Amino acid sequence: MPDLSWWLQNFQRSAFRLECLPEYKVPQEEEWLAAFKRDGSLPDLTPENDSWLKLVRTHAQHGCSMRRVRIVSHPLTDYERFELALFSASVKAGEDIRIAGSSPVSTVAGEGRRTGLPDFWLFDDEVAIVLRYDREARFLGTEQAKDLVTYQRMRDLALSRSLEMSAYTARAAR
Amino acid sequence: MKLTPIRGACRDGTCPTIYATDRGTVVVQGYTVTDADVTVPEGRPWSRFRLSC
Repeated sequence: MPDLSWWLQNFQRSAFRLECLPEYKVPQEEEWLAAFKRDGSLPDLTPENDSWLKLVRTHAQHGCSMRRVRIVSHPLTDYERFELALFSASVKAGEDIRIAGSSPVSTVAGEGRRTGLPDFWLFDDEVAIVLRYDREARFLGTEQAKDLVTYQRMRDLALSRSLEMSAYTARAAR
Repeated sequence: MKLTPIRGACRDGTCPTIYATDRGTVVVQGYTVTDADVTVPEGRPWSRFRLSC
C-alpha cells in the first residue's frame, strides 16, 4: 500500500492537510524555534534550499493543489506564531494555507489537543492518512483511514470555517 | 562529527529527520517510543547508513 511519502510525491489533483495541535515537537526545528522566540528571526527557506518548499513548488507548477487548514489557539502559542511566520515561505512556493481559530476549548489533560479533530492528509479525494502523535506532540506514525467520507466532511468544514492566511493576518493585526 | 539536517517534517508526517554527516554517512534520528497507544516497530533511536552514491 502506498505510504504518505508516496502520496505526497505522486498525488494527481489535490492534497489537503488539517493541522490541529498547539505545538509539534520537530527535532530539526528546535534551533529555529529557540531563535524565533529569542529575537523573532527565521531561517531563510526557499525551494532551492528546502526539500519541502521544492515539493510544494513542483506541484503548484503542475497545477496540483496543496491546501492546508491550520487550527490555532487563542491566543497563539509560541509554536503557532513560529509556524505561521514560516508559512509565508510555503504560501510563496504555492501552498494554499488557511487559518481557523479555535474558541477557548478546555485542553484535554495532558494531551494538548483542543478540538477533538485529528491531524490528517487527504489525497485526490481517494485516501485519508491520519497522523499520530504522542502526548508530547512527537510524531509516531500514520494510519490509513477507513471512512474516507468522514475526512472529506472534516476537510469541507475546516475550509468553510477558515480564513485565507492574508485575511487572518490582517484581522489579527487590527 | 558535523551533522547537517536534511529537513524532514515530523509535523507533516514525513519523519524521521535525516542528517548528512561530514563522514559521507547519513544519520536518521527518531524517538524511542514508550507510549503504548500505537504499536511501532522496535528499533534503535539512532541508525547510521552509508550513502550509496
